Amino acid sequence: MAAPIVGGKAAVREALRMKSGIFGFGMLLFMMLVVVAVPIIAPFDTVRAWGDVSVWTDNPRAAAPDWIDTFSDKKQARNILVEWDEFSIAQSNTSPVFKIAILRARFDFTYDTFPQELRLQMLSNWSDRKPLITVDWRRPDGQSLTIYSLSPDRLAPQVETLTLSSRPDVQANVRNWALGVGADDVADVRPHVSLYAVQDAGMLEPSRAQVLKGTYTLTVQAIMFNQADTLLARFTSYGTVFGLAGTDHLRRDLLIGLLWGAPVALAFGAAAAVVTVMSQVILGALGAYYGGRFDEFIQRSTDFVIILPALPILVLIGTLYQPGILTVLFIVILFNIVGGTTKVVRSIALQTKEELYIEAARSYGASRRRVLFRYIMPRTMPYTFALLALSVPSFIFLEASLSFLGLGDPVLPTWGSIMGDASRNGAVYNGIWWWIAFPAFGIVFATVAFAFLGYSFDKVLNPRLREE
Amino acid sequence: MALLEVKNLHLYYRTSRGPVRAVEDVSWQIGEGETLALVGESGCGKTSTASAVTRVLPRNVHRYDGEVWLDGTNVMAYDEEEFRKEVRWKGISMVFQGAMNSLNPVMKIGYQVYEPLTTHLEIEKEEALDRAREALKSVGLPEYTVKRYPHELSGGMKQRVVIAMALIMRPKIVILDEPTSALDVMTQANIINLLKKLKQEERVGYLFITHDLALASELADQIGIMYAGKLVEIGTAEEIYSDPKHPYTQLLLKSVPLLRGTRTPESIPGTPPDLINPPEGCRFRPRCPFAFEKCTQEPPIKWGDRLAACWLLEKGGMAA
Amino acid sequence: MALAYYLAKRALFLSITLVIATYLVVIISNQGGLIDNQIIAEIRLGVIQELRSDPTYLRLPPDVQKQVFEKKLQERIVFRGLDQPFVTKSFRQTWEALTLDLGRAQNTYGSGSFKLTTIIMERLPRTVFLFTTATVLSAVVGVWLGLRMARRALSIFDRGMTVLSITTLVIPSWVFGIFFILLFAFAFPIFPSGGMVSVPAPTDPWALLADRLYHLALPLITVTFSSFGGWSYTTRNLVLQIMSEDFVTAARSKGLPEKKVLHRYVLRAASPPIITGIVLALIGSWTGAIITELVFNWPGLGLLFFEAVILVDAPTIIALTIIFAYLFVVTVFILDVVYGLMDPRIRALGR
Repeated sequence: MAAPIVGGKAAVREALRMKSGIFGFGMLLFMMLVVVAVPIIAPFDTVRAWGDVSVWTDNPRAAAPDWIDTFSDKKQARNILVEWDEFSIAQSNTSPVFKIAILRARFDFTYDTFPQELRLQMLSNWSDRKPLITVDWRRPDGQSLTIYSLSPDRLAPQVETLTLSSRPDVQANVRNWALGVGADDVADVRPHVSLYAVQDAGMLEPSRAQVLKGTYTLTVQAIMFNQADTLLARFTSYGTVFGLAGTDHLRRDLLIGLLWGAPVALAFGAAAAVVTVMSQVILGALGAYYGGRFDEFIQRSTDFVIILPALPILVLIGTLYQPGILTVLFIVILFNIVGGTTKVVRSIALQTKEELYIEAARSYGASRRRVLFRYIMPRTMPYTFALLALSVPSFIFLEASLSFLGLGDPVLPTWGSIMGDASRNGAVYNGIWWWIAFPAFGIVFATVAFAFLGYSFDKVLNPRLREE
Repeated sequence: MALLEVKNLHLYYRTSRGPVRAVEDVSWQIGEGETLALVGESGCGKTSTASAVTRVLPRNVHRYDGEVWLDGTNVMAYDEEEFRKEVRWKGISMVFQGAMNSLNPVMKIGYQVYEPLTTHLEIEKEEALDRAREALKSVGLPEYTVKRYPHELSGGMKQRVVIAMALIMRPKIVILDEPTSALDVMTQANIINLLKKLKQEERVGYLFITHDLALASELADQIGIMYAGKLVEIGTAEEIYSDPKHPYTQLLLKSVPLLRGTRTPESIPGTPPDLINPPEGCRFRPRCPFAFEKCTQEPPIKWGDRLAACWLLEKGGMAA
Repeated sequence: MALAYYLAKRALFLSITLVIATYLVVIISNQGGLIDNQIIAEIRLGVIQELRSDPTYLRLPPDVQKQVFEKKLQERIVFRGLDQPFVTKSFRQTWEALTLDLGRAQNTYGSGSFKLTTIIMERLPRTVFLFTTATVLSAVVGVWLGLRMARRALSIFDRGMTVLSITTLVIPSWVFGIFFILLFAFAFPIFPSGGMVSVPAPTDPWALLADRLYHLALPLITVTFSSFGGWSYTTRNLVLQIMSEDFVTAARSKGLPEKKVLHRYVLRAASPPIITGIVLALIGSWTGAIITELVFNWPGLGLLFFEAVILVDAPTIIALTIIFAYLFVVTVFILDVVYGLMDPRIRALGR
């Protein structure tokens, strides 16, 4: 029968001879590539911004991934952002007492669905009197209306943000205009729908309204009372889709969260797996080799740790102390310094110890330590490798479980924490499936990769399981 | 008439690198009450021959054919079910190498010993247990052994149990595969004496497999020397020891150390061949000190009244 | 008897472990005494507010006021048992926890009572029911599959099922839960997306039963699906390994029919690890229940744990952790008993 595989290199080589090993290593390689690419696509300061809501305000809220409309004939509304410098400015200096500034933005709207929200931002500078501002909306069908009149509250450099869709005065203006052109009345007016809707009876109702495609013009007209006064505007028509992975309830680009979830998951899983497996293997082998009270102690501690209900205690610690991810890693490792593996390695070591070649080595003067490392440890290698491969996913999903419950690192986006956010914000019930499905898929991919690896190492370990 | 006759037996195993030709065209016979010892190095095919005879084969069998005549019936023609009922244990039983592993660790000894009885015969458990006790007595073990578990017995005791188990159905042939290699010399001697006693009392035929030529001489009427899957010489113990014809046999004899005497044992240079690609013709050719050109052809085994597969016998004037 | 001695040793060890684990939980939950300080601060505040609104108190001279204040404060502190140093208190709490004197929660959690024993007893059967059923089901399905796979080793069936087993066994059940809910409760609305009964629950007993089963279906399928892979994979490997052991070959040479060899020899030898696995899986499933119950809104112990965590309801959290610990210990002990009965070698080791 085949000789036992000895040593790490041999174990890996054997594993690669099998289809499952190749598959597993392939998936792992793919993830490594992602991990390497991540800092290039989304540098770390973008991630640190994960906790900072203000960074993401240009994105739509809970938007689907933008490739989703390839599956239907309806083209989803994209984000239209008219930047500060994209407004055309015309000023008239007819009077020394006041001046009129007209800012215009023209954009095309050719989508089949209505935008999610409308937002107007203004940077205005004045002394003495506040400017008087009116916002006009001109549609492709020639219809024009004044959406809004205001005097700004904030002085530059503070940005004044107006969410047009939710302002009652905007809604009133839109309703009055719409009723005037023959629309049926509704209880709630949605400007972001009606402003873009074909002029008909249903234009106030989102379910009946149809999109009017064409070029729209937004005009911000300001009467300012000092020559030194300035006004800048920025307009956003939020799309219903955004980015490769959509956005969450805080408008964060999920792609960044997902991408950074990969290295975090892998690093956590790998670090925990490597440290705990090494620790358990070494302690198991040492216990078997030295025997006596030391072995007894290790055995008892192992039994104790196995019985300890780890997850509840972790949840407890997580709630009370809100640890960062490194602390969680540390505690998890602490809980797993000894474990089931210790027992198995101990029995492998005990078996090997009995074998004659160990006696032979001792008889020619090999020290205990030499025997341990050069003879016994290599025999445990295939088992260790299989175990490493299978431990990584279990640590990945331990971290994911804790983050899902909201107990993980409060700052870093991990797959688990994204899923937790999604679940708590009703992703499942409100059809925002991508928010929860993508990170779930990430977890699945990572764990399956390691499962294949573990399976191939298992076959290395048990020649009887090989394809022969 | 021979009790067990094997003719042109082949057994190849399938591996990822090609078929392993473990047993190649082997033929021999055992008469009633006779002992045939199959001797050879590890990997020469002696255990595979035993597996081939009892048809206890692994999954990866590539070729398995030949004739096996048990008491006048060609049992190779039996299907699985017939073979199981008629041949296994009833006709041929086996004592495995390393008895420690062939006993089920979670069953009591008594049960394991009488199990063949309750399987093959219509017999009450009580009676079967009685017979088990008797069987154990006949191999020199106390009756209370029936209540014990395997891990409570020593190596020698386990070996005796396995022998008792093999004899309980009074089979025609018992195959003993290295029955004493895992035991110390004292116990070994005891087991051999037991086997001799049983051989006389029960008139059962033994196929005794061992690598120890000296041990074979204790029990065997006939000795068959196997090398690289082939039977290279077979003859009576007398013939083999005093007048070995095949060079391999000669070298084997020279390699046995003597307790008294000044001759130093000589080892055989080289290693046994790869059974996936064995050498053409005589498989011993690469290591044989007397090899010559004709050896690339397969030598016939029968030369007059001696059976040794070597072309040298042609030279000696003993033509086929 | 060797078995009794062995079991006694194990019982002792498990009890000690339980005590230490409980003590650990108590220490952690009390943050080494920090929570006590918080409570004392709260009491102080409460007393101050109470006295401020008491006119008789306000009329007292300042030094008498101080006396009254201190006395009242001390009364309250003693009443809550906070006058003792943390160490003694921790022993008392450990004792209470071990004897299952669980006290009161900070919320009723829908049971109508603050008594923890009531709350827990209401929820415990639901968790046990769901997860034990699922574990047993997945073990049965998995072992049966594993046997079939070993019988047809290396066939397409075997290879396909092996791949399926290893990919499903590593993925946590709640991830499956999410996928299944998205698929079978929303995309193709076959099953309800959560809860144990409909709201309002049907009154007819048969309809109620049907409704309960209907709600049980998706969680049960999810947990079973995510667990069977472990069973089938390990059973398959175990059986393959055992089938090549010498004593199995010996049994075959004895002329035993294949079925007998399979049952008496292979399965018997495979049973201890499989049964160990079942027990450990049961333990694992109860603790994994936390998130699975959350996903399915299943009102059991796991969800209770989560709700307690959200409210930072320390007494409930401690109580639940102790319950889990007890469940562990009892299950492990049962395992020892079963194992000891099955494998005679264990009794020998107990000496």
